[in-house]
Amino acid sequence: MSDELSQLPQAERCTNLLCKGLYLNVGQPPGKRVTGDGNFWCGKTQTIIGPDRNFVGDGECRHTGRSCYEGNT
Amino acid sequence: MAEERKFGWGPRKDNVLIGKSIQRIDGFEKVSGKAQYTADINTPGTLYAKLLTCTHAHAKLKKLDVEPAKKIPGVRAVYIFPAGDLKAEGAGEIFWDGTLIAAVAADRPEIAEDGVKAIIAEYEVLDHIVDEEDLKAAEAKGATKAVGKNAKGKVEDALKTAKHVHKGYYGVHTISHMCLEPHGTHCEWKADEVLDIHASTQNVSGLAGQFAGPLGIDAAKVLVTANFEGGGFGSKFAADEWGIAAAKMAKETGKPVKLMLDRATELKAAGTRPSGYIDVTLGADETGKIVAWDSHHWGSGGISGGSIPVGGIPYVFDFENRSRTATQLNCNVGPTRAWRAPPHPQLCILTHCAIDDLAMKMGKDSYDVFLTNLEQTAGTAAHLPETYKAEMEIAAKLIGWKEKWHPHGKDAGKGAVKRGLGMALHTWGGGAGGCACNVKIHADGSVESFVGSQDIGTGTRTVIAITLAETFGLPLTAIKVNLGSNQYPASAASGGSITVGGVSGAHRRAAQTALWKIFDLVAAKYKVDAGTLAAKEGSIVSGDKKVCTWKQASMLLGPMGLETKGEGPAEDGLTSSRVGGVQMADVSVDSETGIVRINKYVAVQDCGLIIDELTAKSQIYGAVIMGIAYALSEERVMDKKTGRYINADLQNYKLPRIGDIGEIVVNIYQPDSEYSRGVIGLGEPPVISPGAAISNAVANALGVRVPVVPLTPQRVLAALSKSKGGAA
Repeated sequence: MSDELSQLPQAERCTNLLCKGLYLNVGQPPGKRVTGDGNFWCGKTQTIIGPDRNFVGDGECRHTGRSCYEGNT
Repeated sequence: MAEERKFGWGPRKDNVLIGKSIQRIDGFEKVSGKAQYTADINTPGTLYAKLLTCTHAHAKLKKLDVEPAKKIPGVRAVYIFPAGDLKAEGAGEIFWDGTLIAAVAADRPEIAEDGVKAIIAEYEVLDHIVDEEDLKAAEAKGATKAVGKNAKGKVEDALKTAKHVHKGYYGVHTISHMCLEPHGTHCEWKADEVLDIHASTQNVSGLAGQFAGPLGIDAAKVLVTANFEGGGFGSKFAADEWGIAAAKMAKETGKPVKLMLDRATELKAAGTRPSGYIDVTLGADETGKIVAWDSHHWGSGGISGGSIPVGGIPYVFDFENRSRTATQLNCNVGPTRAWRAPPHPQLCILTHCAIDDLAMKMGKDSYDVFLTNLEQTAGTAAHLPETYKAEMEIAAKLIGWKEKWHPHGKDAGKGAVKRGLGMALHTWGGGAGGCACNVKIHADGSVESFVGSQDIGTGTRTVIAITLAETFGLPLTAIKVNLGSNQYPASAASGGSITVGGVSGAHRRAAQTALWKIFDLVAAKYKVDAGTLAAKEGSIVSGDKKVCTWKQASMLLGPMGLETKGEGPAEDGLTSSRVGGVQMADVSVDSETGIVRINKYVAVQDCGLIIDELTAKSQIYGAVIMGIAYALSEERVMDKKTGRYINADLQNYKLPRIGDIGEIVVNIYQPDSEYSRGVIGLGEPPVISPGAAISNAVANALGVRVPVVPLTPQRVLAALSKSKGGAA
């Protein structure tokens, strides 16, 4: 399953950003999802507030300028 | 023969177990107390952790002194959460009542509580906003954000030419998840830096990495176990900061640490369902066909978003001329998490109450208006309009719609208690989740399965056992199901009603693969055609002739037995997605006290092929009860002045008692056309309709809409007063 997780289109987001969809859509055929993203949380802090004390989310965690942002490169 | 072998379910008429009502295989463990939940784990030396939380909605933490707690005999560790770490980047600002500040681990729970009380925390209280219904006040404070707008057709023109136009306001307040087993973990470090975790989780296979990152260890060194779970409802996918705290305190002390949330923190910080409110105008032609919809809805999922998105309104239906906008309120309240069928219950209330009021305005039977508009069901599978029609007919018959229905507010009874009927309908996906499993057939004929899924109270163990027993022609007692561990093949988290499809499909594939190998061995040994073989009643048979016993067949596998792997989902017909359901409520409303009673509640639901009718029905009963709760009494009450969650306990957070439930009639719509669709999840859909169906029944009884759910006596009386020209 971990290989499939890594193939999900999450490259633009901070790699620490987690959401329900990552754990429900795993294993689905390419392009198919059984649910949307759902609610987000930070994998580092395990809350909706990131290490920099700002909120996390799909929009909020695409900013490479955030001090806590970690890309997949 | 192999090329002719295809995965699939057997003919419905031949099933011995599938589709029957079968008690849970772990029922005895649950009712006897033998079942061990996370809260029951107490390995030797376990320390008990308690939490200090902030009691302000919005504040700046100015001082935190944990030294007094550390001095208390029996206190072994004090952990400071990021919100309490004044040395951290951007530290100090607190955004909701219930924010975790510190945790204390001690030899006994009461010592930990003493430790929490000894901590000194000083705050500067800041301005807050907690009223999620008051859009104007939120706008004035700059606490809103537009989250979507789209339109199609010519809404204004359609409303101008519509025969009937209704303008209404509806809403549903925020609720908490109220998991009876609160969130929590028991963490114990073992030899070689292995972290052994028992967690109350819906995500057994997905937790190791979540713990490993913050702890700086390899995910391979994290063991996760969740044998039983007392409710998650979508709120238990994360390791959570309290889980990390438990692991860190266990590391620091060298002792196991158990941290289960107290009830108040469970309600404040571990998940809520967002609120939703709507201003809507809709119009219909003379037949009742809705020709225009124009709406603006808003609500809050907490301080950082998560409100109801713009899509999905109107719910189930879509209309040729439709405009919708959505606004999010950022309020100082605990964060939202997925709540059973997100956000369908809110969408259903915001849409179907408006349609029902349109019917009232037209003087039409609500049933007829819903029926007329079935052709406008949108974004759903093509089979649904016909399915809804059939389900409406069944539900109407079961509740006696034709006999009991009266025009809104025209109950012929002369007393203060008025009776009414209401209905709503819903849809859900429920496709099969990702699942891998191993099925092992031992040489003695016993069968085991291993899967990294979890039974969150839905009957997953039983469904797996039935699938295997049916495939192998064995009794349930011959099957051992091993799940709830991340040491087993990985499986998706349990949410979105995807587990039953995921595990049943994967296990059927593994079992059929194994059975075909056994058939080949039996065919060679007994000189029969493998293509004629079947597994029935503990034997391998060829037509009517018994070839050998299951045990004899298993011995052909040799002393190592046979292990096969099953995976899914796959496009082989074993599973499918998309269901519908219709629910109807018969209520009595005391117009003097405002108390609403459920006389009878009918739930008709399709869900494809049913593995276990008993657990399927249990899902529906449970969902309806949960729906009655949020329809009549359950809500988070925020004090506008202090910003605090003032009913965060089991006494004041009103859940229904037995006497509040009434008679529930469950009907699973399962013609052969449903059986042939394969397995589809059922956990979420039946919880969607109760809010709207009950609200509509109350409106039918009174002839007055109580606009906001839950329909508490206060709101019922206020609506009646307003209808008579009094204050709302």
